[in-house]
Formats: sequence, C-alpha cells, structure tokens
Amino acid sequence: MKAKLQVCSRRVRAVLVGLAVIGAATAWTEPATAQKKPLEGQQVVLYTFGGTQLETTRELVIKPFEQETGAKVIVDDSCCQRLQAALESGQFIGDVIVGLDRGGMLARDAQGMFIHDPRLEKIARDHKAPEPYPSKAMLILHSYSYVIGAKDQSVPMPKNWAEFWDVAKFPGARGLIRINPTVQLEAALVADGVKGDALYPLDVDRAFKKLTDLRKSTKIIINASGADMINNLGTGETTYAITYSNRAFLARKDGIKINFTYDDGFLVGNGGAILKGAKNVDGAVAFLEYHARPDVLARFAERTGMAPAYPASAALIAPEYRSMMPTAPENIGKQHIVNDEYWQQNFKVLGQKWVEWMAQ
Amino acid sequence: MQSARFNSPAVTTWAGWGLSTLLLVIVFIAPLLLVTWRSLGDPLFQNYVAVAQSEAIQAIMVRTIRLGLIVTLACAVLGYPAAYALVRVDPRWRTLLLAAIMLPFLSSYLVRTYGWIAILGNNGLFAGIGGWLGWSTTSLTGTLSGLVVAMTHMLLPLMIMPIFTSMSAIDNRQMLACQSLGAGPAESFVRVYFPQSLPGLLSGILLVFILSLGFFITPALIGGARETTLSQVIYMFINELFDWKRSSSLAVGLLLVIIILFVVASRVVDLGMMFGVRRGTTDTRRSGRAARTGRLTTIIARAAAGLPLQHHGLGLCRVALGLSLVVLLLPLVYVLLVSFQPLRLLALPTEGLSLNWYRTVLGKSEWYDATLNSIAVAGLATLIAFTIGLFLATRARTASGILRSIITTLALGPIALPVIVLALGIYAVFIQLGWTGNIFALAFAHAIVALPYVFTNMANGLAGYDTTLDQAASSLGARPWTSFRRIKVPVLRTSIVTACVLAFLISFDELVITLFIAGPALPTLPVRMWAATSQNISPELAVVGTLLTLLVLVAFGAIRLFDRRRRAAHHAS
Repeated sequence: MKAKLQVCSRRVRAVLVGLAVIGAATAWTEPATAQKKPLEGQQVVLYTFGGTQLETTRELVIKPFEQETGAKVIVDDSCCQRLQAALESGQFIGDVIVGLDRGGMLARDAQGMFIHDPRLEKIARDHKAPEPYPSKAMLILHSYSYVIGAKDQSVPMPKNWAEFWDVAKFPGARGLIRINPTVQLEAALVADGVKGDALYPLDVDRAFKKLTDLRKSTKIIINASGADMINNLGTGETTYAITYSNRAFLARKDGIKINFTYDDGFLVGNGGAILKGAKNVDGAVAFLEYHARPDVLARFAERTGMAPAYPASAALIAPEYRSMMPTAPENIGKQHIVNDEYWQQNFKVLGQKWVEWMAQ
Repeated sequence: MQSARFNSPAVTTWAGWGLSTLLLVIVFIAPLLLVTWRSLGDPLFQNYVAVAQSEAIQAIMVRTIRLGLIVTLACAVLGYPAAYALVRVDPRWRTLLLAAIMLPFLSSYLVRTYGWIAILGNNGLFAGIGGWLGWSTTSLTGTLSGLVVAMTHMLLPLMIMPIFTSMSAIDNRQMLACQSLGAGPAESFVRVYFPQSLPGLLSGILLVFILSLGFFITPALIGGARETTLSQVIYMFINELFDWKRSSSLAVGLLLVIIILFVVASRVVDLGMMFGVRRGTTDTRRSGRAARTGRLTTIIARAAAGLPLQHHGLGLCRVALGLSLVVLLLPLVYVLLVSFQPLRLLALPTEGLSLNWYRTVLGKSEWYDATLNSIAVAGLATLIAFTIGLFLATRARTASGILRSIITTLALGPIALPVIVLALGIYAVFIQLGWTGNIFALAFAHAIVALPYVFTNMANGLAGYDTTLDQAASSLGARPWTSFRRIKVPVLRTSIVTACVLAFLISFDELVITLFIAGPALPTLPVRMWAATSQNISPELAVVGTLLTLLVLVAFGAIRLFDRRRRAAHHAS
C-alpha cells in the first residue's frame, strides 16, 4: 500500500515537473506573443460587492482575464449605494456591474441604467442558456435558490413551506428577510395550498394574511442581510429561516453546522451588465464573456455555491459538489422558478405593502 | 504685521462667518434644498399627501419618535448620575473612566450591534441570568426592550460627555455653602446644583434624541418587524424601490417633525439655557417662564427635602456609573472573545480558540491603508468642525434670539437628516463641483456630521464661561488671540478635548457619506469593514475592532506613563 502511494506520488511529481517546465517555457516566450493580447493597455472598471465572492472573482476571473487579454481590471467594491445618483447625473461609476439578481437587474434596466449589447445575448445563446435568460441588457451567470434553512441537524427539517409554517410540528423562531418581499409572498401562498405553477399573478392579500398567521403563531426575526440570516441560524437565534442556498453552502463549507433543503426552493438568476456611461464597452463585454465560460463558472460554483446558469458548465463541477448545487438534476425538479418579470412590474406596490405589513 | 491682522477681531469674525457659511451652504443647505426640491414632485406635494395618507407611515413615524423618547430617557436616567459620579471621582481615575466611556466608538457599530444580538439572544447573558434566577426568559432580540438597551449603549457617551462638561464647571463649595445654610442634600441639589448642570443635560438630550430618530442599522438588526424605523423605510425606498422622491419627502417630513418638536420643547424649557444665556428681565414672556420655573423648582425642592436615601446620593450615582460602564463595555468583551472564533461566525467561540482571523487581517495591506486614510480624514474633519463649531457656538451665545435659533438649527440640522438622504444630497452637490474621491472634500463632508457634536459641547462649555474674563484680559492689554490661547483654552479644556475627541471618532466611524464621496481611491476603515461584510460577516471585523481598541489603550497607557515621568522629573527639579 505504502509502495503504491510512493509510486503514485513519484508519478505526480514527474507530471508536476513537466508542467513547471512547460510553464517556464511559456513564460519565456511570452514577450513575443504579448502584442497579440486583444485588450493590451486597456482598463475595465468593475463595480461590485465585497466579501468572499469578490475574493473568488479576483482569483478565478479577474487575474486570468487580465493575463489572457492584457486588460487591467479596476475593482470598486462599494456597490451599490451611489449607483442611481451617479448614473442620473452622468457620472462615470464603472464599465461593468456584477453580482445583482436578475430581478434587481430588470428593475435597474427599466430605470435605464444599462447599455444593451447584442453580444451579451449571443454569449448566452452560444452556451445554450435556458429561457428567459438570453438578453441584450444583461448576462445571467449563476443561479441560486431561496431555501428553507434549519439551525443544525438536531431539529427536524421541514420538507416544504406548509411545514415551515407548521409551528406545532416544527417549533422555534422563524427568520424572514427584511429587504424585500420577493419569494416570501410566493412561499406563503405555496404554504397555503396554491400550486407552484398557479402562483402568478400573486394573490397578494392571501399571501400577507398567511404571513400574518405565521407571525401570530411564533417569534419572527427579520434578517437584515444574508450575512445576518446565516449568523442567526448559526447561533440558534432562529430555528428555521428563509435562506439563500449559496450562503448556506458557504456556511457548511466553513464548518457551520446549519442544515438546508432544496425542497420547495425558489430559483433566481444572478449576473452582470454593462453600465450606462461605460468608457470601455468592449472590455466590459470581454469580461462578462470570460466570466461566463463553462470552466470558470464551474470552478466558481465549487467555491461559492452559486450554480452555473447553464447545463454545459454544471456538468464540469467536481462530483463531490455537483449534488449540492440547486441546479443538480436531483434538485432542480423540487424547486420553483421566480417570475422576475412579474416582480419587476409590481415591485413598487408590493415593496410598499411589505413595509406596511412589517409595521403592523 | 501678520499677527496684528489676525488679532483684529473684525477680520477673525468675518473669516469665521465666511468659513461657516461655506461649509453650511455646500454640505448642508444646498443638499437639503436639493432633497426638498426633489421631494415636491408634480403635481406639487403629491408625495407628501401620499405619505400623510399612509397609515403605516404614520404608525412608523409615531413609533420612531416613541423609540427616540424612550432611548433618550434611558440615557438621561443613566447618564446624569454617571456624569456626577465621574466629576466626584479621584482625578487619577477620571481620565481612565472617560477613556473607557469613549472606547466603544473604536469598534465598528456593526460589530457592537452583533455583540448585543449575542448578549441579548437565546444563549446570551441575559437569558442565562434569567434562567439562573428561574425565570422563563426568552431572547430579547427582536424586542423593543432589547433594542432600547443596544441603542442606549450606542448613544450613552453622547449624553454623559456634555453633562460631565457642565458639571466640571460647577464649584462644589456651593453645595457646602447650601448645606451650611440649612438645606438638605436633595434640596441643595435641586436649587443650586441641578440648574447649573442643566445646559449639559439639555445638550445631551438634544443630541441623543435627534440621533436616535435617524438610527437604522441597529433597529434593522436587533428590532423586530414592529421596530421598523422611518430611516429604514427611507433606506428601502432609495435602495430597493429607486424612489428618490418619496424617500426625500419622508426625510423632509422627519425634519419638519423634529423642528416642530423643538418649537414645542422651547415653549416648555428655555433652550437658551443651553448657551448659558441670562434671562433678560425686560422680556416679559421669558421672565414669566422664569417665574414659573422658579415656582416649580421650589415645589420639587420641598418634595425632595423629604426624600429617603438622599445622603447616599453619591453612592447611587456610582452605581449608575458602574451600570453605564457595563452597558458600554459589555459588547467590547464580546468583540474580544469573538475575534478568537475559529468559524466564519460572529458568535462566542464554543469550539476552541483560533488566531486565524488575526492572521487574515494582519496579512492584508488594505486594513493598514484604510486605517491611515481614516486617521487622515478624521484629523482634517476635526480641525474644520472644531474651528467652525467653536465660532458658531461663540456667536450663538451673544446673538439675538432669532439669529441664535437660526445658528442652532443649522449647526444641529445635519444630524436631524437621515444620513443616507444627506449623503445623496452631498453627493449630488459634489458631483457638480467635481469634488468626489478627494480627501479634502471627504473631510469637508465629515466635518458637517461632526459639527453638531462640537457645537453642543462648546456651547455647553461656553455656558459656564465668564465673559468678563475676556474683558479683563483685554483691559490688561491682551490681544484677542492671546486671550483666547491663555485664558479660553485652559478654562474650556474639558469641552475642547471632548468636542475634538467626539468629532474625531464620529468621522472615524462614518460610513454612509463616505461610501458616496470617497470612491475606490480612498477607502476608509468603515468602508473596508462594510465591503468585507456586505456578503458574509466574518470575525475579521471583531479582530479589527479589538486591535484598534488595544492600540488606543497602549497609546493611552504610554501618555499616562510619560505624564507621570514628566511630573516626577518636575518634582525632582
């Protein structure tokens, strides 16, 4: 056994040495090929969020993209406080924005914040991204899911929203999401017996009534952010919570013993777009094109739990992570898909109703 | 020649007015006008009508004000006796205690809020004590009482400091004189001590109340759904619904409510007292109020004379001070412990300790750069805010009624606007001026947030300052600058130090405006912390908070040591 290992490691070493030689040779010849880099001397400004996602993006996207194209990526990780004010007054804020949900991007696109480019749609179609993702306004890179999370393995796991609402069988505080009512209204309706394919247009009054029922039957913690939702589950402040699947994935990877299920989850898309006032539209498109490559998205998924937005990339995910993705064949059928177009059209009214409901 | 010109009072005054106007117009009035303009809408006032008609908004407004009143009351009840105990404590300990009171400002309020979630939560201290006592206590997070405790922690230093400044100026021999004239401790307190400390108390109440109305991160994290504050709604309208107009109208509405409350308050209490203004006898309305206040004092004093425990006043105050310190420092203990948490979780480490997050933080150059940026910006902002705040406070004291009201409103106004709205306004103005991403512009913007703290503390310090000292100095031939340096500065030392330290810390902790103005070229510490936590929270924040606290403690210890050595050397020679 030991001898076998030895052989194995010797072979590995040989391969590594070989690779190093090839690498050195490539580095040696680099100056000659440098002129061929398509974006040499150009600069692409990326406006995005900070945190582990950005660390992963730097490593898996930005660095190799810079090496391949010769472009320099400037990162501004203070998204998105000043976005609207800046764009309205014609201030340059970045070439490309990454990290927004599809619903949020539709809303921003309706405000005229993005530059439309047919190349974005072509990239999506080339990768055979599912409908309705291909669009001139944005490129959907990942998808994740709003799922039921539990504080750890010691408590029984609700299998659907009806059970999430069942406080007698599953006692404990519930965590909701403060920032907007997306998915929470859908979850309430599903819990109340509405079929997943008959959700839209939402029966808003019924949904709020069901949410009020939950609120009357147990303690509700309204999580202010995704970080908050994991922290409150991790510390047991909430027993069950509506959770982002990628955060739950990351938390589990970090050794936090929370539990979650894709049963009755709600899938949403997430990606990037070209910002109005961009100085380097070609650079922005090139950046998004690189980010959307199958191997890049697969590695990204293994690190962050954000699943690739199309099947060809999902197939490249390492087996030990594949089944943990919301888009894995065994998971995807259990979930619903959020109707972003409906939300984009009704968000103003529903957002206001949500504020009113919370204040009740 | 140069100094002669600087010494000329007219030139100094004009320079003061010029600088103040510049700051207030660019960073407060213009942004405010812009916000108001946007809030009007077409047809006119439609947003206000919508706001006024919404029952939910009315309920939220009422609850926001109620929360503010409760927190202000809690801070006053705890802070006033604590400040008294501080004044009476041995001077050697006083500086240390004052530092302890300011210390929480150094760890980001975000981490401290998480600290409170843990302390108040299911497995926290409160539930633990409750369980030990046999009560069936549940978690206090998501409740009003939990939120009040956390907000009291955040705002208590701003109550204690001005009261402490006021009390420092009171001559304690007056109390002995009172008692030798036959008044009991309670009566002499009500008749002599309390009226003199009132300016500080009023300043504290004003600051804490206005600030509590604008809170949104702590209520969002600790409060339940019902504790939705107006600022949170404003934030949601801007960030989620892209509804600038309605959020602006809410912000202007909040400002109007605050102004109305001010007017009502000023009919009950003479806000001029905050500036130590002596009531003129010619003003009949005022003298009527003074007479009423006098009668009231007499009634209270008579009632107080019979109070039990009045001889243990100082002891009770020490208890309040102890309690204040617990409320202020408890989350810091938590922050320290969390910094050793091995997991990416802001919770007490129950499964072993780890130095991982220290390695992570110390290995990132961005934390050093951010600290240096923060110190530079805060230093500049303090300089600007102090100069202008001192000038305005001096003017407010001597100005006529109307002018004084205008100055006070303008100098306190910046904290009355929810910071996100002020930030949007400032950003829009700075874009026009091409001022974004510039350290001086950022310091200028920070100065407006720090100004109210400087103004209240200096106004309150000057209230106890005898202006005849200036006249005496000038009659002895001292020029204004000399008399300022040799007389005002030493006499007002406590106020000046408090004002500057507060201004520095406020700028050091400022996040929202910085997010708008700084841009990627000038990240400050709170911006870095914010970016690091916008996706997932990690104990990195706790590490940064702990390191900053340690840094200050070491610096503080070094200064004390140096001071002692110097004094010892002085005695030896």
